[in-house]
Amino acid sequence: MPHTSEVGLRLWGRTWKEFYAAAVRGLLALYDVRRVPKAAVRRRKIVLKAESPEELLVAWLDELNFYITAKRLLPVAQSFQRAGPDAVGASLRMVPLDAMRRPLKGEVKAASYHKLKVERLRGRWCATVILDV
Amino acid sequence: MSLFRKIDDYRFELPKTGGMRVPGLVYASEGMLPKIERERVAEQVANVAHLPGIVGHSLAMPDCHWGYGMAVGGVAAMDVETGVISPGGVGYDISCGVRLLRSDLSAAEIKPHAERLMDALYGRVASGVGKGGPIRVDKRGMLDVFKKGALWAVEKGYGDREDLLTCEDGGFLKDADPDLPSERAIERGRDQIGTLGSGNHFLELQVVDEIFDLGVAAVFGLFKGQLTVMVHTGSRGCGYQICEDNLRLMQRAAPKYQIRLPDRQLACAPICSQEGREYYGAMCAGANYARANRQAITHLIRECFSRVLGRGPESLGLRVVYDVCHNVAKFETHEVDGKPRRLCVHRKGATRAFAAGHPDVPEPYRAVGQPVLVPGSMGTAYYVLVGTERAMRETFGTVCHGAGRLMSRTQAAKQVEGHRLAVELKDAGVSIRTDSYRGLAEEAPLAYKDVDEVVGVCHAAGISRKVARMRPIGVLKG
Repeated sequence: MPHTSEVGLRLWGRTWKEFYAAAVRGLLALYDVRRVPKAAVRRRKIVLKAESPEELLVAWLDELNFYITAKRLLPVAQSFQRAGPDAVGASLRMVPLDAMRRPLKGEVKAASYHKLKVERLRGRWCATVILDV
Repeated sequence: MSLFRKIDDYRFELPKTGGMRVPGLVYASEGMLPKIERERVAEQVANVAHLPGIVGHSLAMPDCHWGYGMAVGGVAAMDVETGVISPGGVGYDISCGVRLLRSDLSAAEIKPHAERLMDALYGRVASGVGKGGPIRVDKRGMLDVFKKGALWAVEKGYGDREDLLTCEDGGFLKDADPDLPSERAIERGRDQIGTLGSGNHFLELQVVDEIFDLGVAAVFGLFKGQLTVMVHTGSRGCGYQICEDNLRLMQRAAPKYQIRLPDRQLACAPICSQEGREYYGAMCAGANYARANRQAITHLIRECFSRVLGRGPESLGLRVVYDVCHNVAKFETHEVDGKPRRLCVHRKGATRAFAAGHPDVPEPYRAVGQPVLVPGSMGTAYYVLVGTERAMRETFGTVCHGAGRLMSRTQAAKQVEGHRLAVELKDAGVSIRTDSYRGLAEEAPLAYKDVDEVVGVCHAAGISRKVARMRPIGVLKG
């Protein structure tokens, strides 16, 4: 979603699992990740809790982004043990950034709470989230 | 019908409505206003005006544009006793700022070496996502960075004490609490000192092509035809993490203190509350990280120049003109309604611009005023301005921080092809180094407002004066 200085992601999923999986794909799209090389995969577990779905979505995106920017690991696949409005737990398969053929585009600093609302619309969980880049 | 009421050619008031505690005030030309209105700047200026303890006006500089929480280019001053402090009023990149180095070299002298110099800088100053630099710091060292900022870097041999004389706050904020940033902030910062990051961050070789005020330029050590080096970067992952951690805490603090928020990104706490004090202490630590980062980059630049030109750093005259940030909250005293008041001034994408005589202006510049560094975009112009008394009276001593974005990154990348842009810039005499041509396209000059117009508004409105203008000859894009 266009934003003058930052970038926005429109996310949706019929289930919470689909919704959080959409957030992973959205984040990778912001880094312009098109092809993931076959490389030694690392596994990481993420378990998060929050008081609202908005806070949880921000925490989920920030956690994934922490792995990308600080651990230099790119989440490429996930299986959810738990997914709901106040908690998410997932095992993620991650590929080291150094295995990528081309550098990632830009850097996502963090997900913001600006105008953020997670809501059920036409049978799907939906949100628009602005990220600082 | 316009939301704004015209005061004069460069000032437009957003009248108080609803829960706004003060009116808004936007500095712009009449031509800039439609774009400002189309975007959500007015809404964001109005939202900030709802915050408790805000004094004077909720301000926006001419480079303002839609941000998150507070508009980019926004300024809000809060009374220290009744007001709030908000991480959203500072931004994720705490103390992101600009450093300008002057040299004793002319553009003609550097020309034969420019390509090799750009290669050396590209190899030495890391840019891009999550990349570490040549400087690694352990946890104990990070606590020192948080406490001492640019002074830490100088003590480690990355520059000398003279560099600090012409840095905002002497290179570090004394109120930093090194114990407040989280383990994760420490982890993210440990290998990123001396790195640019990405987005609109850059390192540039520039040439002074116009002097507007000979006297002030001479005090700043600037002359026509001179080679300068400009660095734009901030607190990297460390600062983002400090902001993230505190924004999360502030989500709880706002309801606890019965603060009604028009936007959750403006989550805040009373300045005098524990949450407010802790954010301020952590933010100062993040700000010091940013200052250490720019000081370390200065050292790497000097190394590259010495190696390529085969001359010692002293003979090159690479000295700091100034280092000033544009994402910060600071305690300052300003006159409001004829009385001095202690305020917490939030500047998000806005630069401090103190006038001559102010004790916070570095001693070498005190007679003329504080230098203000305003980057344009790659193919355009960069300005050095000087703070004025009028800025002290009207904007809490603040002016713009750049050209300001005009177009989204997606739109820019659709209109511009990165490799072609690099060739066009090369033909225009600007050599480019980047890891990401898509990122380069997103930063194309057409994505930005006309910096000449932005600076022209600040000059004409009297909130700063033009001193010098530079043009880029080499761009290392983050």
